[in-house]
Amino acid sequence: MNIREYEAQLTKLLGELPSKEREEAVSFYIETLADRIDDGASEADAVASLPTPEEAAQAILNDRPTDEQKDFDLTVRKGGGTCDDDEAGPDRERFIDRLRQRRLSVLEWVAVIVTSPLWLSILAVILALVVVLLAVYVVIWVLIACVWIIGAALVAAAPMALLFVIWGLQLGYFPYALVNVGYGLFGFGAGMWVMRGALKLTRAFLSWQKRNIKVRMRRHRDAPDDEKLFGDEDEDKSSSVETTSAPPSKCCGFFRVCTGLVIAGVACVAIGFLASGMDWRVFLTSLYTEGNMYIGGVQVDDPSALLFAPVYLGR
Amino acid sequence: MDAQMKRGFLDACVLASMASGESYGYQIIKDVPDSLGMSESTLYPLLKRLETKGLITVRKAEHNGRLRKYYSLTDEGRETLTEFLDSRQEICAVLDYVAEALDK
Repeated sequence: MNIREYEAQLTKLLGELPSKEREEAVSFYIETLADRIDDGASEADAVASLPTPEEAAQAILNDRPTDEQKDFDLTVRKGGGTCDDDEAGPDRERFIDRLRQRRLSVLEWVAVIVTSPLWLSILAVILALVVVLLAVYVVIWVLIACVWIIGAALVAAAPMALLFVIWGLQLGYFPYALVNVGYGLFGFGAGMWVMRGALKLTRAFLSWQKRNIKVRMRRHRDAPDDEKLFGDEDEDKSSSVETTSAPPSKCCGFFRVCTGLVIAGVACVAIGFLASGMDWRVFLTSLYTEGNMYIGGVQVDDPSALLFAPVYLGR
Repeated sequence: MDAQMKRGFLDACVLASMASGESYGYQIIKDVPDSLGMSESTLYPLLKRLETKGLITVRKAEHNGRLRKYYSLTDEGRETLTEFLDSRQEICAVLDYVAEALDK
């Protein structure tokens, strides 16, 4: 056996030791081998004069201090005042070595996983996801609210247009009155249609939300009082049935009426525009410009004579 | 010599081998009396133990293009050696007693 073979075999036999401890022990044996050769021995003789790798490994492994022994040694060292800073070193090293070789006990594995800094980043990711989900949820509600507001604004335009129609009639400016009839019809028809859409969106989102939460809850607990908690399930079902299967005729009727109103509105506006001699000012109503009121481009001499106008102008 | 008896003497002999100055593994093996049967397998754990107890210190230095570890006594190690010598009377008394007992 030559030095290399001796070294390789001893290293292999000390496999269970932490790498630093193993290297230290092997280098001790190799050092004395080299010293023997320097002293005049042949390589073979030097190797032969050493304990066999098996004997060496056994001696090293047998002499490793037990935990109690280590504690004792540490107190001796501390008492002697020669304590080093890296006292925790060998233990940690041994642990890391075993970790590398995946030879930890179950308890150690649990500790490694539980105390892993990975959890912090996972927690951050979960938190970010929750925030994003909340934001998406809020945005969906805001969008639905926008649809409601658009619909409501369109419908609210109808009574306003009606007032302008009355003013137009009072002033005898009929094309303007007709255009505003058109505005009112269009606004009411389109507004109702949009609000119907908003209602459907709201219901759909609510039932989706309820369904999803229910599924999650059921997965966690199959207690019968689930039904009580979500007692409105039947109601929900009936409403969904109403919106999906029953209403076709109702929905189509509603849709037809709305479309009719919108078309009639557009037609009224178009006819009013033509009747005005294609004067684009017929579309305009200026309630308060430099102290004057303009209706369809015509200045109103006595605004206070118009219906509700004094109230509107704050006089 | 009996293994148990050897153990105590080995510590003292290894410490004594550094009394006149630092030494290294192979030199210590050569210096320690043959009767104790010192080998690498005995010396390596022993040096580790003495180092842990703070009786010796280790330094690495280059020799012939390779690293060699040199061991030297600390004050505590020297003290331990003195204490060992102080027990000479006791050891002799024990040996005398055994010898006398055998003679009788």
